[in-house]
Amino acid sequence: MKTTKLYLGPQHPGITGNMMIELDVEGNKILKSKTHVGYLHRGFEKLMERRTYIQSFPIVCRICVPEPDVNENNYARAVEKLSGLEVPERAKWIRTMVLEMARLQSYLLWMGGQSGSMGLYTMPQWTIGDRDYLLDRFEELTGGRVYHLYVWPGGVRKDLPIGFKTRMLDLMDYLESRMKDYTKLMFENAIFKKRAIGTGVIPKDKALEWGVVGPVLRGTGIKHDVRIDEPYEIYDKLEFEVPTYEGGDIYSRALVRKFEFMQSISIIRQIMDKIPEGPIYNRIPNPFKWKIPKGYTYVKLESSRGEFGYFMASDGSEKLRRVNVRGPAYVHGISLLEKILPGSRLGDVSTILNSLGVCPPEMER
Amino acid sequence: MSTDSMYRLLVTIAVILGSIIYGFFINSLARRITARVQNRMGPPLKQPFIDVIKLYSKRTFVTHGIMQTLGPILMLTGIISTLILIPYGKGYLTLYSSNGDLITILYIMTFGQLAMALAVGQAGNPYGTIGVARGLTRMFGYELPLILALISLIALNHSADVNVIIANQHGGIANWNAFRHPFVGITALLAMLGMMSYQPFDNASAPAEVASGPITEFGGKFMAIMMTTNAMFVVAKLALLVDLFFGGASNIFILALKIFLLYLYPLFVGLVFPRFAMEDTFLFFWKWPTLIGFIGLAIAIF
Amino acid sequence: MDDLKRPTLDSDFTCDMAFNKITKWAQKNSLWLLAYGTGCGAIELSPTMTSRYDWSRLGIRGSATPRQADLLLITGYLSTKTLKRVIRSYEQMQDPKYVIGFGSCTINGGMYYDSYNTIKQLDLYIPVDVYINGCMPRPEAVLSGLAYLKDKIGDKKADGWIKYKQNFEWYRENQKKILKSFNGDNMPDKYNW
Ligand code: SF4
Repeated sequence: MKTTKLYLGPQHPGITGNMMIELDVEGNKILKSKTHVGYLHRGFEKLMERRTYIQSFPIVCRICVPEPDVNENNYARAVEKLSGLEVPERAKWIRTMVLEMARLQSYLLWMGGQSGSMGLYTMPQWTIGDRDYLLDRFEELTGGRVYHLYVWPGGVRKDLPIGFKTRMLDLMDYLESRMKDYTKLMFENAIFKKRAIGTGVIPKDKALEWGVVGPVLRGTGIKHDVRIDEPYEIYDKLEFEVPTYEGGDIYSRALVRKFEFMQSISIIRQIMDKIPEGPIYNRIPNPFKWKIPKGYTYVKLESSRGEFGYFMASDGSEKLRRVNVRGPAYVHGISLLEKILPGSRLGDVSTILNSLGVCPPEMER
Repeated sequence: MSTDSMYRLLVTIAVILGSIIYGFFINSLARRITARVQNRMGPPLKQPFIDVIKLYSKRTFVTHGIMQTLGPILMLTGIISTLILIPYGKGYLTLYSSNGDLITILYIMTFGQLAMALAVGQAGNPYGTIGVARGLTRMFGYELPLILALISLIALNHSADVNVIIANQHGGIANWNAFRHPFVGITALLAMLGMMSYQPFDNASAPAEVASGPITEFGGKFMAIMMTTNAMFVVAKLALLVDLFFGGASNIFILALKIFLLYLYPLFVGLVFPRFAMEDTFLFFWKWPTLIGFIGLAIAIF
Repeated sequence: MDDLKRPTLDSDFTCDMAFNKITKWAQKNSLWLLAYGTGCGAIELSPTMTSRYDWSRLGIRGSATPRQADLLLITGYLSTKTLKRVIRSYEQMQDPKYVIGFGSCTINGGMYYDSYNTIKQLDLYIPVDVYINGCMPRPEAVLSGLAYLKDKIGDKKADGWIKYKQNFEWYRENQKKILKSFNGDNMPDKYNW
């Protein structure tokens, strides 16, 4: 049979952003795949070396568009670690809440993308519409819908607005009730199962070696979650468990995410229940003259797509010396994709891409 | 030309124009209904008409060769010939259906799609080619149960003339072929899911997989012709199914209503299902629908 | 920007814009948008097209390939590598076609004003009909930008595509300044192919 070269993207509705996959296909089968990147490169790590610590904040959240808060949080914690700044207790709780809200909205976006890539167009209309209610809460809290610039070295910018708690809990009830519909329409859908089970399999024994993280790793049956393994913020004071499903295919990844979606709702409820009173930030010195002592650090957290780490080095001046961002998308979108795509069907490329949580802007920074 | 054939010609032209308008109308109603299921407003009812006028008013006309230009036009011819072979009621509304029978209709129906395949081949876009291959595979899949159902009908009525089949269904709902011969009816309804190219069987033009499939390279006026053709084709297919399985219609309004109700069925199925993978499409049709079709055929013959 | 020749109302131009009422109305109310998320702004398009803001009620819908699209939305920063794809996509679209620059990145480079890999001003390379500002414009802003474009089409003022045709050399020159290996990469030199 003849081998055809197909260029999927960068302008293609099945790609999760601005990137390109070069495929060698034979009939309906993929023989070879190669990811091309560079369409979104902005040179973040260089730009941040030119800006003061506070000036870098508006940039870092642009690293991953669907989930900006993890970047803010990581960056703030790294700055705090370098400068030895303390964070008040209440700020930590609020930060955790913001992280979980970010996880929820990211999973809603993922549900839309995953089912949209299979042609179930009712689902994105529902989930992305519901995600907007979460963005409303974000807007109330931070003033921004997508980019929040809310987390700050030494705390958070603003306290919870009056009545936020009830509105948030109402929203959680609403999302929980919607999850029943989603389950029926997507997770228990016969054709969804037929397409998802056994597609895009990552073998369990190879997963760690290939550098897989996050829900994708948990979908292969390996228990790994930064929130439990190395708790940050206040995750050690909350009750939750890490779900794992055997199989390593799209469906087990979907189940992991579904479980975590419900769990995030319960975490937010716990936070709303137990959040202590107190100050929300410690003052930082004049940001234009804020010199941070020499040193380096690595901070990481569990984003909705996996472990997200920042390596930062300072040289004792007002500006950062070097930053390196380690996101899950780089591994998932380039090396992992090239390993698991060959052998699968052409129609499944977009589905696999969505289930891995590939986010091109984060890949290239 | 005698007045009789004159009238018939006029009615035919009216039906062709009417089918375009009605095709667009049910399309926009379908979009509204989809939107309501999905929690939103949806486009206004005139949207398909606006789209087509806009596409006809496009200024550039990029073509990659003579076959690409001819393809949509051949498709239009194919659909018009199908359209005039189907009866839409009594008297002049039978159009030219006495000139051909079921077999002719089936044959001519595929003509347009083959013309399209040639045109796409010349356009040279790989996604177009894949889309056509998928479309033809799907056709190959659903034609088997469809033909089984139609052969059963022919055997039951001892005639392949659509008018005879309609006449035999007289006298109430219980006499409609879909209910009198349930196995045949079920087979036809399952095959119809494939004919209408909604999910789960819309692989040919799955955006996430093959961009817009066969029509990838066709913009502007080509696209306008294709949209018009599709509107007519939908009406033709549904009218045929109504004639064969749902008792035909005594006047055009009842026919329109029946067509619309029948159209809702693939629409609602499509709203709650993702699409099958390509191989599964094929297997789906060759499994249960075919089996039921054979049972129906056996009952019909013995 | 001074050396950009404004399209003059010569016969060619009036002929191109001489739509009658019906086609004008149709072009205004049916905008198909090329599904190409070039930058981070694309994330606000999904709320705009889904149930909460639902742009389909304005006659807008996505289309998968440039051949069928009328509207190119440049959603934010453009790296030079993307610029090349954008030019190709734009030239494959069929006239009349419109471009919306979305977000401050397309206007003056926005927050990447000092980045080495992004272009700073979009309308040096392709003609822009409407800008929507904001660093990520909200869905309401997107809808109002689209409504503004509709008005412009109705008033026969959305003439970016004619501008591009008439000042083709100028645009090509600018593009070649940024894309060094323009012809080496099989970029066609003629317009609309
Ligand atoms: S204007 Fe802002 S939101 Fe838009 S692309 Fe630029 S940085 Fe991103």
